Amino acid sequence: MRGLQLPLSQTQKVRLQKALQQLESLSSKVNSDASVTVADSISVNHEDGFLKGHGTTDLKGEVVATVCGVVERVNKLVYVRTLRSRYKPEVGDIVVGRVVEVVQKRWKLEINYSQNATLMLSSMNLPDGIQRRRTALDELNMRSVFEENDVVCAEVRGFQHDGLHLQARSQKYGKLKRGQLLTVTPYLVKKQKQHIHHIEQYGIDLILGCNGFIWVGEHIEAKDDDDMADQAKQSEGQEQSFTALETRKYICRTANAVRVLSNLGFNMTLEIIKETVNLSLTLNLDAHEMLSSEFCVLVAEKEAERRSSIKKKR
Amino acid sequence: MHCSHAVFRTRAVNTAAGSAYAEFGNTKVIVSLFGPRESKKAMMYSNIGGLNCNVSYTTLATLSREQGSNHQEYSMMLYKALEGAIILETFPKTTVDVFALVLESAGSDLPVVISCASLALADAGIMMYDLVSSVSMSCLDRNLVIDPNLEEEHCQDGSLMISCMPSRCEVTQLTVTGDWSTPTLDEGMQLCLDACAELAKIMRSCLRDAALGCQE
Repeated sequence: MRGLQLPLSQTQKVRLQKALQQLESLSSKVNSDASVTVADSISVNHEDGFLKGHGTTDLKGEVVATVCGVVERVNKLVYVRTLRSRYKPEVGDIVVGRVVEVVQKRWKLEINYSQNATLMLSSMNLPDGIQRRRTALDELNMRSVFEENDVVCAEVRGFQHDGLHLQARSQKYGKLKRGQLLTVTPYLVKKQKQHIHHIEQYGIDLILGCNGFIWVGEHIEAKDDDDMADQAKQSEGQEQSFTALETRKYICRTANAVRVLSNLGFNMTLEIIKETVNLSLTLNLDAHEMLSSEFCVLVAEKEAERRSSIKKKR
Repeated sequence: MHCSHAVFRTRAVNTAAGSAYAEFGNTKVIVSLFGPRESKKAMMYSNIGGLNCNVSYTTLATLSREQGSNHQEYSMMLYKALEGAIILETFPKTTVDVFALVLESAGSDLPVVISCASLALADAGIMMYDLVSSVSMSCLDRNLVIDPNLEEEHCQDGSLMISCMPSRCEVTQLTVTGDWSTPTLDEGMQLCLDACAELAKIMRSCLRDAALGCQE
């Protein structure tokens, strides 16, 4: 319903409505009267002490919204969450970004934040794996590590005076190759225990960046630092080989599953993405057919069923 | 009233952070907004955000070529109208870029651009004190005409444009040109403020519909 560009027939619209209503009734929060537009006053009980959070301001004693969105109340904090906002970074988040610029001793990455994030050369493991001071030669060879428009996975290190800093010190971070980058609203990717998933049965990697950038790609083995020198030689030989057709099909399927789920506004978790892919396989749909309106409605119905069955079990 | 033929839609442009489309009579405007983002222009540190406005006309917007001159000023006027309404302290060191494109011009272009731009700002989630709605009025031989079309604008003796924030009863921009007598000006201003309040209601309902459509 959120501005889907899919043409839905009448029956499909009815089914989708029904599934979404069922999901809404299952959700624990009552949010029907919570959406506000700019300068709407927010109903607050003035006797209880309350804290004005983001998106609110004080106008002659009344609490008034400054953005359009949904009012959230957490204990005494009242704030307005916008529906389409940029990513709000927190230390330790795993993000996926695209290199925009190569500057002195750092790379600038675009991560759907209001500023470009910085990845310092010193926060990155060197290709030969040795821990040493970065010399001028390393600086000149920065482009051999990452170039413009490369996709990189990194972790948020913190906020410094000149912006947001990232680090990519472990083997699981670094350049991402042979896959697809997808963009969803950051709100749909909640903080989970693991953001980097390896789906063995298909041989693909799924990285759910907290900034809403999701990477689906061929699986790359995370090697130790000792093997880095050998790997550098091996990778030259590997470039000649191509990704298998089956793996590519699974990558497309998973990417389309993410697109459908983001269209419907469901939270991105490994389980729901896997289930959507399984649903498409059981229905024998081709990867491109997953983007049709019929599949979209089926996914919504299946999710409604799944959640109601979970609720009944409780 | 005159607002009955106003059409507003948000999310007109998918790739922009916020966007809106407005039709007012025959005047059609589309505004897309990018940001808050880093800008090369504003490399100096600033503890408030920057706003960069640009108003342009498509080549098929006007039937005649006469009106090429006003348009450079419109960007500055759009900036002045929106500056008072946006809470710039919320996005320091970054800039919001507003690009307005007039698809068809049939009189009172700038007010429609301003109202459409404030909808685009609300769509993008930029904090504002209130929506800015804007109305212009022409004086033709002591007759007051709200939202004049092109012929009326040509023959006008004076024009008045108000951009205001209705819920706060605050005016962000007032432009008066030409020949006005004081009582006519008073009457004109009151009419314009009432019209702004009505227009703001229509803009609100558009935002509310868009928000309800978006919720899961």
